[in-house]
Amino acid sequence: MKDEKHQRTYVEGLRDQTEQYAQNLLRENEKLRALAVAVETENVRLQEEVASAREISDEGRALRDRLETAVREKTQLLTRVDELTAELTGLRSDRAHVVEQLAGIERESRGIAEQYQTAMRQNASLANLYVSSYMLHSSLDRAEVLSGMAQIIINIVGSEDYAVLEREGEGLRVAKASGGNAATLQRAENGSGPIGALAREARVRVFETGAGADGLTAFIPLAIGDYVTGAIAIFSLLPHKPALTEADGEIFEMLSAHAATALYCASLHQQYGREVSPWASTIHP
Amino acid sequence: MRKKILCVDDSNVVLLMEKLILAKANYELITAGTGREAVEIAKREKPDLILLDIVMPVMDGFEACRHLRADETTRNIPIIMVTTRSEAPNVEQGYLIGCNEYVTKPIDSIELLSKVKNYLGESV
Repeated sequence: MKDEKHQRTYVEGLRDQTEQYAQNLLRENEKLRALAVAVETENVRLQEEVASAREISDEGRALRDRLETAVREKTQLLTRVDELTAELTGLRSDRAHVVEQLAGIERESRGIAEQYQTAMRQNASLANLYVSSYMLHSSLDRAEVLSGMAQIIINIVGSEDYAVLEREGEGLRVAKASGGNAATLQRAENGSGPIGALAREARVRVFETGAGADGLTAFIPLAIGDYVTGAIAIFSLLPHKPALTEADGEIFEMLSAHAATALYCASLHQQYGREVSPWASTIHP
Repeated sequence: MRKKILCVDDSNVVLLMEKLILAKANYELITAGTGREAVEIAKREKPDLILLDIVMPVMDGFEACRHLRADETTRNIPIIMVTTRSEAPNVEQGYLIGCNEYVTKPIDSIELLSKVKNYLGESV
């Protein structure tokens, strides 16, 4: 009986202990489960961090690659800048050379244009001389020679205010005139006044327009050798011609020598043409 | 084909000058000594351009210009006045009756050539 009681006590004790142990195990199990959940949560968090870190690392690598690329490009660009700078310097030098060449060509072109203008002026001057000479010597008719002289004065010199005078005794007789200088020409006919004095000087005189005595602009003695046979007096010029030119001076020198002989020949022909030669009478009978 | 120019002037000096200046440019030149003659020749020859003096006997340049502008066959021929009368009223009258341009005497060869070429459509 005693053993049975003892056995029962033992079994109950064992059962209590087992119960207690099971309770402990359950609690421990709960703790472990909580810990497992915490570990799992931590694991997830860590995995996320690892993933994030991996992403950051990828971005870093990409950034590093880009940086390296940028550095390479910068180096290449710097090299290109150096090359372009050298090229620019060369181009600037070329440009300066081209500008210099252009300036030279422009100078040359201006020179040629000036030469052309000079040639044209000389050509015009020669043409004027040729036409004047032709007009003086193309006729033996006194009226035509005088008309030719007038046309030269009007159309080549540029004056409609003039007088052509011929020697008569000590004075100068008006052979052809245009413009209003009656008083001046009367004195010239007497051999007095400024025109009379200039005729005695026997040289071409040119004045500022209208600034000579009696409003003269030019005085041209008509002379054969040293003998003055007449004169041309030019007073005002045409309104659009401000002054006489160098070319006019050449015309005056030509007129001085050639008009005198032309007028003299025409006068001789008028008086003695028929007697000099049978053919002469057929020219201006 | 050579361009034909009619030079009209009662002065042989001017006609000779115009011939010397224009001959260099290889134009065919015909001449007239009065306005009336100019009108007749222009109708017959139909020049490409007329250089017209103003003060002339028989018919002056203004009258000749009026006749040329009134005629169907000569109406469109360019006319350049060549005149010693450069005063504004004379030039204005020339333009009013139909002249296209004017040059003054004494003739400046560069000016004349330049204006002739301009009206003939040639490079100056």
